[in-house]
This record gives sequence, structure tokens and C-alpha cells, in this order.
Amino acid sequence: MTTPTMIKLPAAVEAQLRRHCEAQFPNEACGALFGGGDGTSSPWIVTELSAAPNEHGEDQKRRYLVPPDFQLKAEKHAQATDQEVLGYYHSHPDHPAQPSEYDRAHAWFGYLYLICSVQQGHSMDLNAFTLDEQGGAFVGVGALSETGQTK
Amino acid sequence: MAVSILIPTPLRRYVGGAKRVEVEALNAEEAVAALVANSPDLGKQLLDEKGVLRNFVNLYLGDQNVRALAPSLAKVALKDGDVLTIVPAIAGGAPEVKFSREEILRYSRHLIMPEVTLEGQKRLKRAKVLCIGAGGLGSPLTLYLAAAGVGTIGIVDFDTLDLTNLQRQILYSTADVGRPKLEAAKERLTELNPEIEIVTHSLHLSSWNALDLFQDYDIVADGTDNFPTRYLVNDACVLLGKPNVYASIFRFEGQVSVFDASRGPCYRCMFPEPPPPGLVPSCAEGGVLGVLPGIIGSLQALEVLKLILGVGEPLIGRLSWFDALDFQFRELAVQKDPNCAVCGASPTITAPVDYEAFCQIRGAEPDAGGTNISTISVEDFHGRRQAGEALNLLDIREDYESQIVQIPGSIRFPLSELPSRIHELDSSDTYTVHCHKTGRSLEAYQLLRKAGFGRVNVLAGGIDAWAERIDKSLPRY
Repeated sequence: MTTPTMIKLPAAVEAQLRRHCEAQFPNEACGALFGGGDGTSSPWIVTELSAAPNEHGEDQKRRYLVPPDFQLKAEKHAQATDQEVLGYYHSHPDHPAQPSEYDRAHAWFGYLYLICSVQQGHSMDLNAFTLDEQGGAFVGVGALSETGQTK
Repeated sequence: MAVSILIPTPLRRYVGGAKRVEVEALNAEEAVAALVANSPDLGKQLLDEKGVLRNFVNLYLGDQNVRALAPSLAKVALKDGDVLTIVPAIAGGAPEVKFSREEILRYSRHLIMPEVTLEGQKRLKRAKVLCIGAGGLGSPLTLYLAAAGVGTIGIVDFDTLDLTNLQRQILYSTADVGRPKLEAAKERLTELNPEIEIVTHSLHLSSWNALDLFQDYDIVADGTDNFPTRYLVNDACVLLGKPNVYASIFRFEGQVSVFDASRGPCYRCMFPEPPPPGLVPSCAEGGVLGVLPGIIGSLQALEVLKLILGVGEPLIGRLSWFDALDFQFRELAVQKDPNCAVCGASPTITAPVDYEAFCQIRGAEPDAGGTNISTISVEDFHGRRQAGEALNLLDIREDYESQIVQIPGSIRFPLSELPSRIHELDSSDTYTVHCHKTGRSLEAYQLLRKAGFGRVNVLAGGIDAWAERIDKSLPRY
């Protein structure tokens, strides 16, 4: 296992993420994370996020699917603003902020995944994960706020 | 045709970190083939065994998803300067909760309630509740939570069961006496509902372990009988943003409230500081009617279940007070204190503190005197009396307790009569005060000191310690 790398998540971006996750409750919210760094040689620095529609056709209370068209737009936006799509965030309504087996099976190595637990409409724990190199397991990464406080 | 392929972050490791790869191709199939030619691993990511684009990978030509353009990649013609973008599907979600046939039947009386339904039952199964204490309150609490199908129930306790517990702790049987409570509790709760997980935490809850322990749970239910733990549970819950379903009992009275600092007051808003040691006796000191914890612990379970289901009005900002003798429920409004030390606007408590010191109970005896109180062990007292010292032993228990058992040679002076009869004692004499354990002796000690008695001490552990360690022929109660 590689050493977990830190990320920096400014308070304003975190607040925006929490608002989105709460607004979508009881459904899952999802969206793209923009910024710089790769999480290995340099920390991920999230500078911006963009809320995506949840396009999962069956059960949006426990599933999310980011529309590919949205992803294409996100990639273009990243390119135009000299950022990277660092990864994606989603919420777990009434469920802890821990990745599910379904999350793992659908995750891509190299992306940063933020999971926000929303309990009865209130956003609670927010955790950061990335897939290990073998793709077999999620590795927790410490989230840092703008002020440098470990969450 | 010279075309560019844009590579997303997760796939760049297969192409030497490149964001963009230039290839020569007439159609999309050729472009992908050219891309993966030098990287079989990338090929496995993008294409299945038949060479078809995997369904969790999207390929865009300009702004068009190629799946929408043509039935196969080979049919998507390219021209010079075209840009292909690979877009990996992003999906996931919370784990699914499934119920077996047996579980559907087990919870059927819940499932048919519109306030619960299958959705609510799933919430119950996903929920993680930590119960502090497996005693009088913890018994009905854990039994009802287990029966209701709360998926994970954690229990913190370190006691072994003794015979005095069985008068109210209905989680246990006579055969369990002498066993660790957690072991017996897990066995009983698993028998009741084998579909759920019972996690036992055999430890003294402390400032060192509380945050780590609470972290894994959604709701904490405090059923402890002492102030240091109560403040610790409160503070840890506030710091972690977890709701604390609180209950306490004494003799014929019980209290219940829900402290959720994100939505209302916390325990400290109501009681910024604990009462002086000895003022509020524990159940062991003051007794409790056996059925009372059954009632109050059930109310506690009710509030836990309501919080999980998100139904009704939780007991936030309200303290419910039950008086069993009058059979009256009273409700007190609890205001959030903007200056609260832990949940106020500028908190002074940002991490768990030393709660033993905060509640002024230190020393070898867990319930022995405060820092300024002089105590004597039962062994020392016995030794000095054996050596011929004439020591005054003041039994400040009430008459109905003295009828159960007494230490020979003690002077009976019930605490309730002490203020009016204090003149019967000589303030220049030496007195050792004892009660059942230690609690009320501290109060008598303060009374005597204030009245000018200079040589007073407290028999640590009271008649209970005496019967346990000095005269084993005496019954304990």
C-alpha cells in the first residue's frame, strides 16, 4: 500500500459540496472535483467542484451515475481552465461515509473520491478515498481544510 | 487521418502519463487499436474479449458519444484533426440492504406501518448505535433495539454481573451471576435477534478512547450512572456531531432527553457543572425501584428508534421527567446556552478533558472522597480498633438500612437527622463516618466540618467494603 497522500479542500468548496449533498437528500448527490496535484508526488488541491445530475435509472437513493456528457463537459472545463478532473464526490444518504463494494467495483485508479454521509438531511462525515494500485481496495486519505486542520 | 485521443486521469498511467495521444486512423476502431497497440493493459481497460468498447467506458468524437453515432467503432469514420475523448463511467453508491424471508416476517409489524415501511427497516438495519452501560437502562434499551432490528449495536461495559443487579437488569439470568455482563448480554441479544451484529467494548470509557470509539457509530445512548462519564459522553458527542440519547434514574424518578448540539442544547447547556460529590447518590447508594429503569430505558430506546427513522418529534430541547409515585410525566424546556463551554459560539472545550477532576472524584476508591476529604480504609479502621483505639463510628444511613445490617459498635445517626441532632456530638472528638458505600458520607463529612468538627474522616467504601473485606459474615445489599 502506498502512503496515503493528503488533500487540500478549501472550506468554501467543502461547504458547497455539503450543500449539494444535503439538497439532493434522500437521493445520492454526485459531482466532479477540479484542481491540481496527483495525490502521489504532490497533494491533491481541490479548487472547484461542479454538481452533476444523478442519472442512475433505478434507485437514486443508493446509487449514482454521472452522465458521460457531463463528464465530457467537465474534461473540457478542466482543459480550458488549466485544471485537472481530480475525481468525483458523491453522498451516502443515511449511510456512513465509507465506500461500498459497489463503489470499489466501479472506481478508477488515480481518481480522488470524496464520500459525504448525509444523515436525515444533515451532512455529517466527509471522507476521501483513492483506489490502491491493484484496484483491490480503497485507501483512505486525510482531508485537510484550508486552515490546515485535519478533519 | 491524424487524430488526437484525450486520455482521462485514471488511464494516463498506461500511456506514460500523457494527456493526449496522436494516432493515424480511418475510423474509431483503428484509433483505439493504435492507442492500445503498445499497452495491452490499457486494451483490457477499454475493450472486452471481442474487441468491443466496455460498457463502463464512453468514447466521444467531438461532443458526440460514438455509441449514439454508430453501432460499432468501425463505422465511426474519422477525418484529419478529429478529437476523440475517453470518458470512464463514474458510478457507485451506498451498500444495499437486503432482507431474507425470515427477516421480512420478523419485522412484519414494522413493515406494515406507513411511518416505518421497508425503507425505514433498512434504515434500522444500516444504523449503528452505541449503548454506554449494560445495566438497568442498558437492559431494556439493548433488548428493544435488537428486537427492532438495529443492525449494529455496540455496548460499553466492564462489570461482571452480581446478584444485586438482577432486581432490575432484565437482560440477565441468575445463571449469569459472576460472568462479564458483555458476554452474557451478547449471548442474550444474539438469541433474540441473530440477524444483527452486537459489538462489545469491554473497557472503561475515558478521554483517551471515547472519540475513537464513538466515531464508528451514528447515535450514542448514555445509560451511565455517574457524572464523569455523563460529561465525557456529552462532550465527545458534541465534538463529533453525534446525537446523544440520554437517560438517568433514581429511586422513583427518571429523566430522558435527546442532546443533539447541531439541532439543540447539550447536557452542559442544562448542567454546566456537576453537583458536588455526594449530593446526588447513585442507584447503589440511593436505591431504585426495579421497574423504573425498565420504563425509562424503553423511552430511551423509543427516542433512538425515532431518530433513526426520522419520524415524530425527537426529545430535543426538552427534558422529560417521570415521577413513578405520582405517575406524572413533566416536561422541562432546555435552552441552548450560547456560552456553553462545549457547544457554544466560542467553546473552551475542544477535546475531551479530565472528567474525574472536573467532577472532583479522585483517589483509589472510585467513589471515595474528593481531594480535600480525609478517608480511612476499612482495613486501617479495623486495625486501629483491634489495637485498642476507641474510635467513634458514625452510621449515617437511614433506619430502614440499619435494619438490614450494621457494623458492631457504630453509633446510628441518620443523615436526615444529623443537622438537628448535631449538638449531641462533641466537636472535639474524632469521628469516622460511614454509609452504604461512600456517597452520603461525603455530605455528612461536609456538614460536620462546617459545624466545626475538626477530626472527621470517611470510611471509604462504607459498610459494603466492610462486609466484603473485614467481616464476611455480614450480608451485603
